[in-house]
Parts: sequence; C-alpha cells; structure tokens
Amino acid sequence: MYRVPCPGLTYVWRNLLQRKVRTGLSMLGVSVAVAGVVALISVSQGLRSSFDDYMEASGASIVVFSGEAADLVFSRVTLDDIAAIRAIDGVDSVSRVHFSAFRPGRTAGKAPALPVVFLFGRYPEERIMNKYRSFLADGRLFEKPTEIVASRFIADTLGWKVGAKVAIYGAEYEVVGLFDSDVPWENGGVIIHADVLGKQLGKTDSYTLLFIYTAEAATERVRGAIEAALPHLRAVPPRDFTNAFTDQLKLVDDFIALVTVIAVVIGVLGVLNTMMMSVAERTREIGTLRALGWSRGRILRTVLVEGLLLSGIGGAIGLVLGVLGTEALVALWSKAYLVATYLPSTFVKGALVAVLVGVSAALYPAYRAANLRPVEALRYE
Amino acid sequence: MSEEGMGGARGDGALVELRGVRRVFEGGQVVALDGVDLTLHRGQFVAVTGPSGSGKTTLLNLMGAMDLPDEGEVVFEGRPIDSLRAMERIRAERIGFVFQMHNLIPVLRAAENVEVPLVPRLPRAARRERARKLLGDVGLAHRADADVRGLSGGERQRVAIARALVNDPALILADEPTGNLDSRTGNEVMEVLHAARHRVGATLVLVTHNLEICEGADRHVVLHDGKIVGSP
Ligand SMILES: Nc1ncnc2c1ncn2[C@@H]1O[C@H](COP(=O)(O)OP(=O)(O)O)[C@@H](O)[C@H]1O
Ligand SMILES: [Mg+2]
Repeated sequence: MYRVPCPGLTYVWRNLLQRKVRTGLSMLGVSVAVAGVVALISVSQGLRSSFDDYMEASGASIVVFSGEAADLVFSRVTLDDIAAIRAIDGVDSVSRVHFSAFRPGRTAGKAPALPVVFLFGRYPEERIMNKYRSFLADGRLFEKPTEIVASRFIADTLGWKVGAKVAIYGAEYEVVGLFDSDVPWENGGVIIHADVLGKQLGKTDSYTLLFIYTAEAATERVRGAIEAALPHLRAVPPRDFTNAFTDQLKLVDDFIALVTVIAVVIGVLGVLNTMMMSVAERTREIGTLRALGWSRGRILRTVLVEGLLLSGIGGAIGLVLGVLGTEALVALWSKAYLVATYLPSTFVKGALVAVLVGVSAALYPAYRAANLRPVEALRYE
Repeated sequence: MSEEGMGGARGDGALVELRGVRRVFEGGQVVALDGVDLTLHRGQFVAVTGPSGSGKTTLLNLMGAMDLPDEGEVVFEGRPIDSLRAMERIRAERIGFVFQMHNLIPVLRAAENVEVPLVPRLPRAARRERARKLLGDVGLAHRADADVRGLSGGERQRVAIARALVNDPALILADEPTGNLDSRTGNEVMEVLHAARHRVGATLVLVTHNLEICEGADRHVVLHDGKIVGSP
C-alpha cells in the first residue's frame, strides 16, 4: 500500500505559524546560538590563518623556536643555537626576531586608544625585513635602534606621524616610516630594533624566534638537521607554526567547545519549552488525529519535524546572522587584530548545532505526543 | 479500503461484535461498561441513548478500535481486536468518527481537514480531489478553502462528516454530533449524515440525547450504568 513518509507538512508549518511570537522567540534562541558559534569559530580561524599568513609572509622556509615554551614569550633560541644552525649546510640566512607588546599610555585621563600594540623586534639588515619594502606607505624603513616603523593603523589611532618622537617603555624613538601590511594581524604592530627589544625583555643572549632561509630543495633536510642537532628546539614550516604552537589556541578551542555546549543547551531549552507547550495545547487534536487513523509513529514524526523545522530555520538565520555579526564586529571594533575566516566546515558545524538542538529538544515532546492515549486525549478539555 | 466486500463474503453481515465486554477506570473504581454483548450488522443504523456517564462514549471507543476492554472481546469483521497495530489499521481504514465538538483541526482549511485521514495513504493531489468531492457531497463545495474557525456550527459538523467518510469507512461512529446545534441545524446535519452513509452503505452508530433523531433507527440501544437495559 502507498505510504506517505512525511507527515502533512502543511499541518506542521501552520502549527508553527499559529504562535508566531513563541515560534519566533525560540527560533531566535537557536539563531543566536548558531550565530555565536559561527562567529567564534570564524574569528578564531581568522586569527589562526592570519597568524599563518604572517608567518608565511616572512618568506622563510623554516621557523625555529623552543620546543618546550608554553608561550611565545618564553621561547629562547640562544646564541650558541644560532651559531650551530648557521653552520648547517644549506642554511642561506637566519633572521633573529623578538616579540613583545605594549599598552599605549592614558591620554588626558582617557583610557588608551588601543588595548595592545605588538612590538616586532628585527635587525634592519636581515632578510626578514625585505617584505616590508613593498608594504611601506610613507617614509623609510628603520636603520638604527632609535628608529621605529609603525603600521599606518597604529599611527593613525595613536596620532603618530613620520618624524614624530614617541615613547615606548620609557625610551624615545623616532617614527621613520609607516607600513600597510596585507596581514591584518601585523597592522596591530610596530617594528623596532631587535636589540632594543632584547634588552627590554632581558633576552640579550637569546631570541624568541628564528626565520631560516634555505633553498627549497634543502628545506626538509635542514629542518631534520636542526631538530637532530638541537633537540630542545622545534623547526617547522612557517605555515605549520600555529599548529605546532597551539597551547593557547587549544585553550581557544576548548572555550569555543564550552560556548557551543552552552549555546546548544540554551537553544534546546527554548525549543523544548515551545514544543512541550505546543503538544500540551494540542492534546485533544492529537487524540483526534489518532482517531482518524494517524499512527503513533506519524504523530512522533510530526512533532519531530516541527522541532527540526523550527531549529532548522532558526539555524539558517543564525548562519547568516553569524556572518553579519562577525563582519560588524570586525568592522566596528578593531580593524587591526580581528579578522574572520569563514570555512565551509564552520557552516556545517553551525548547521549541526541547529539539528542537534532540534532533535534533542523535540524528542521528548514527540515521545509524549506519540504516547498520549487517544481515548484520554479526546476527553481532555 | 482493501478489505471492502469481505463482510459480504462472510454472509452474515456482522460488522462488529462485543462479547461480554467490561471496561473499568480508576483502578476498577469506575465501571464504565459491564458485561455488554452486542452485534452490529452491515448497513444498520443503531441509536445509542442513556444518561450522561452511562458508558456511551466508552462503548463507541471500543467499537471504533480506540480502546480495549478489560474483559471480553471486540471482534471486528470477524477478527478480534487485540493489538495496537490492528487498532491503528482498523481506525485508518474502516472507521469514521464524528465527534460532538466537531474536533476540526483549526490550522487547516475545510478541505485540508477532510484530507487528514488520507494523509498516511494518498499523495497530495489524490487527497485533494477526494476531499473536494466529499465536501461537495455534504453541500460545502464552495467552502473548501474556508478557515474552519469561520464556519457555522452546522457547517463544521458537515465538514466533520465529510472527513469521517473520506476513507470509505464500514462503520461511522457519531458521538452526539448534534449536541451543540440548534434543532433545525441538527436535523440538517442528520440528513447529510444519513445521505452520506447511504452512499457508501456504512453502518452508523449514533449516540444522542435527542430521541427525535433516533427515529428510523434499525436498533435502539439504551445504556444505564454500563449495562444495556433496552435493545429492541
Ligand atoms: N479515560 C477515562 N478515565 C477515567 N474515567 C473514565 C474514562 N472514560 C470514561 N470514564 C468514566 O466512565 C464512565 C462512563 O463514561 P462515558 O463512556 O464517557 O459516558 P457517556 O459517554 O455515556 O457520558 C463515566 O463515569 C466516566 O467518568
Ligand atoms: Mg459521552
């Protein structure tokens, strides 16, 4: 005999439209949950890939850092290490860098214009500086420890101009040039002489990171040689740097997982409440449907489909809202640090959140509806 | 629908049989039906009367495969009703219910309400066609797309009758279908109901308080405290 697999969709749909405010609110709950998850993942992905881009833009073949450092600031590559690496056959050049950051001072009792400005410690003559020639927007690159090059974003925000004298950690520097990097993350920083930063960090006999330049054919061999000769160091391709240095990003992932769980729970509570009310209100109607020949299975599916439709539409809106919200955040809040990368997998995750919410929230009400005894449901006032 | 004509083959025309049926509620505190024996034949019009609480609805529920007895058995078209599956199948294919409160689905339009029993079995287009035909039979072809919340009481009951008949039932169970209508509208609804059942040759069991509409019944079952006290 012919069987219609899906319950009357008209019926499901009209029931949702019947209580527009209630339906809308629980949909919104799902939307916000999905949007939040999409935004978080996209921003974290953006940070990650912007960091990857930054590393790759160095043009280096290998990045070297301490294998055991839990954070970049704790990474120490010593002068002895550097000498050993320079001696490895196939190493064309080594660029030594330091990382630090500072917080611009309060101005006239107002909070600082930026929460943090990165400091990139470099040597003017080393190869890592090459890429900045094409980024240079004004002035020139630095040549002395008393000179700095700032991103145009930082300069605009802090009111710096080429030729201005500015104070960082109590010392005065001259801004000699401005750059516009194509890596958004890098636009949150200032390039300063590595020796200055080494002193400030108390690392005069070591560096945070090394960028190693090799011929392409030699890269793998050199990488192996560095890790073999200096087991306390890690040598990875720049693209893999973020993956190799994931302690903090792992924390971000855990945070995202936690927020996702909270989002799912909130979404489930909203949809569950709506579906329970919807089933309770329709007790008599469900009895009627059973009397008219709808099976328990059909009632179950009807309620499930209703829950899934509710969270599905909420989820679809949430995906759009997630992108719009993220873009708004990125545009309005901070052009320099926040970037979003939208991966297809992020939208799949968002959609999964919606489906998970729909199924888990509708399962119990559907079970209740299917198990109503028709005779009693029809007596229900 | 697939079973049509089976009863005829059996010859005696017994459609549903209750044998020593007892149904209690509240853990035995309430005896809704007590030792009921009743045989209904094909094409009959059976009126059921009795005071409120005498077990009329319970009787209808047992005949309509909505409920199972605590003792005794209900035999439908020669087979005892014993499983939930059998109950679901019989309800879907052999029974048409008309309730006192019409029980139309408020979010569905008139024709869509009539389609409801067909949803599990027919594709949309076929359902639609059949529902429109049935609405025409009860004189509501022009109201097919009407919001049922905007229909009069009599119109609603006529939609409910079309819905009860849409799957060609062998047995129509009507529980005080005119209970909420004025007598003139009630009579009109009864006319429609009779015309409809004659068209398909279905058995009609009608529960009512109104002796006037019992006229012409082949049988008149009178219930009192869960027992049949009169069945001429
Ligand atoms: N599902 C039920 N649960 C508890 N009591 C019920 C139930 N169905 C019927 N009864 C009781 O059984 C008796 C008969 O009910 P019913 O068949 O509805 O009577 P009628 O339709 O003649 O008014 C009444 O006392 C009623 O309260
Ligand atoms: Mg009753």
